[in-house]
Amino acid sequence: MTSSTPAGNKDIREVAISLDQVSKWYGSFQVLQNVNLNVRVGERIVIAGPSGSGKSTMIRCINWLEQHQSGRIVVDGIELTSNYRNVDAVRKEVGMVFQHFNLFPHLTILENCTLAPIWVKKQSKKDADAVAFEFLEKVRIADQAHKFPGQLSGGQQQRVAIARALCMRPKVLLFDEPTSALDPEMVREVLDTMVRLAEDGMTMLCVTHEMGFARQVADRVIFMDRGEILEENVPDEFFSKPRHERARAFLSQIIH
Amino acid sequence: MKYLLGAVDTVPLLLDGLVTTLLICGLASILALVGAVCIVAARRSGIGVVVWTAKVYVTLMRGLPIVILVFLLYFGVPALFDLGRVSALWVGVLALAMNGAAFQSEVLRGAIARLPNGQTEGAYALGLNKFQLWRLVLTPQVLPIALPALAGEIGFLIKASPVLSLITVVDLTRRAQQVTMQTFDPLGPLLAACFLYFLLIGSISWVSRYLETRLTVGRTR
Ligand SMILES: Nc1ncnc2c1ncn2[C@@H]1O[C@H](COP(=O)(O)OP(=O)(O)OP(=O)(O)O)[C@@H](O)[C@H]1O
Ligand SMILES: [Mg+2]
Repeated sequence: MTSSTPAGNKDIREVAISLDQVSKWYGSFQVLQNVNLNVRVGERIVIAGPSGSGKSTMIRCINWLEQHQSGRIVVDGIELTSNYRNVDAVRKEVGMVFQHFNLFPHLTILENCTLAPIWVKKQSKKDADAVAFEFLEKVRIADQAHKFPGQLSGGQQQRVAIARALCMRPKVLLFDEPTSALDPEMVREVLDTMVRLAEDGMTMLCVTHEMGFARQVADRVIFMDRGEILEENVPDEFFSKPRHERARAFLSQIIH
Repeated sequence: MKYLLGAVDTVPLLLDGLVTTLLICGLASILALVGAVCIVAARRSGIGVVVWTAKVYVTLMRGLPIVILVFLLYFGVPALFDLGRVSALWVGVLALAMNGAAFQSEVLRGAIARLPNGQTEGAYALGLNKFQLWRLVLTPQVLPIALPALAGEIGFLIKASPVLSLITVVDLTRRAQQVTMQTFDPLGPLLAACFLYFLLIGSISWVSRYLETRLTVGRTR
């Protein structure tokens, strides 16, 4: 565990995700450079950094949407290797919410939420429906259950995407810029949903530039640039007096 | 007027030809679709030789006049391998299927390319495997996109099928010629054949439009 974990008293919690010297290249271009990160159960981490710094690539390695080439990634005690059983096991524990929602347009909201529970977890349709309604209630969209994604607003679709991920009862949720494809007036409803998840104790890794959200819920902010983690800090300190000079440059840009 | 009546009268005489055309084109379309799926899978396999073979096959089939393919299969291949006489009907099915597979694979590829982004990673992130991804997520979206063009390809296949009368298959066109020779009516049987071809191709596009609306019901994009 890195010494920079701000809340030292939380260190007894078990490690949910650990990245150990993780590197990845696209051809000769190194996207991730010896990334080390430990996420404990219940921790909320915000990842920030300039465009192209490798934020998406890093979190996509955690559910094997991208493959790292050296180092170790262990999720809930399972190491990600090219062994498909491990990959499947990890994907059952890790949910992901994407910038563009990635809902299935040919399925209703309810069917979007029950597809994986039925086919991956082999739940009965009845059980899956019940779970789906529970989480659709939670994201406050149960009344739209029988509509298709194309009939909902962006903010509603993103909340459905969150519910869809929750229906698999993941131990960890990854968010990749969940609000950056939304019209400004819809950002709030999605962030509120995420705050409620955080309050419920969900382990979360969020790539986002929403500083209000980071201040409100994050235990730590991770700053990445050029494939490296340059700073890990508590949100207040990160935003008021970042230690790394590139983090300062980055913050001065996003504040304006 | 006389000719039109003559045409109506000859329709029953052509029915066995119609059945043969239906049989050949029906089987060939199904085989072509299976072949097209295999070609698409081959092109997506990421295995160099397999991808290359599939590409070459599609290029060849798209460039080769179907008459030549029919003759190659009916005369050339049996001579080469000393097979003796082969069934003209099955050669017909095979030729149309081989040709149709290439064209239909292009239709499928185009439809897959038009799918919204992120479907695959969305499905994988939920833990679906590759088979489930295709069965539950991609295919149901590809089909309505591909249907009109697939129906068009089947129409082409039907219109190409008279070529088989050159290798002794008594299809609708050949049957019309036979009736002409028996009745000395130069127009009636051909008009009747026209009518039946129109009916056939028209009903295919009708069915495809029906299926398309059924498959996309309720959803807006
Ligand atoms: N499939 C790929 N092939 C080659 N290069 C890629 C590929 N995917 C990403 N990259 C490159 O890797 C780098 C990191 O990309 P990544 O998407 O992880 O950045 P990011 O921090 O998420 O940026 P953004 O804020 O724009 O989303 C970028 O320079 C990008 O161009
Ligand atoms: Mg990104």
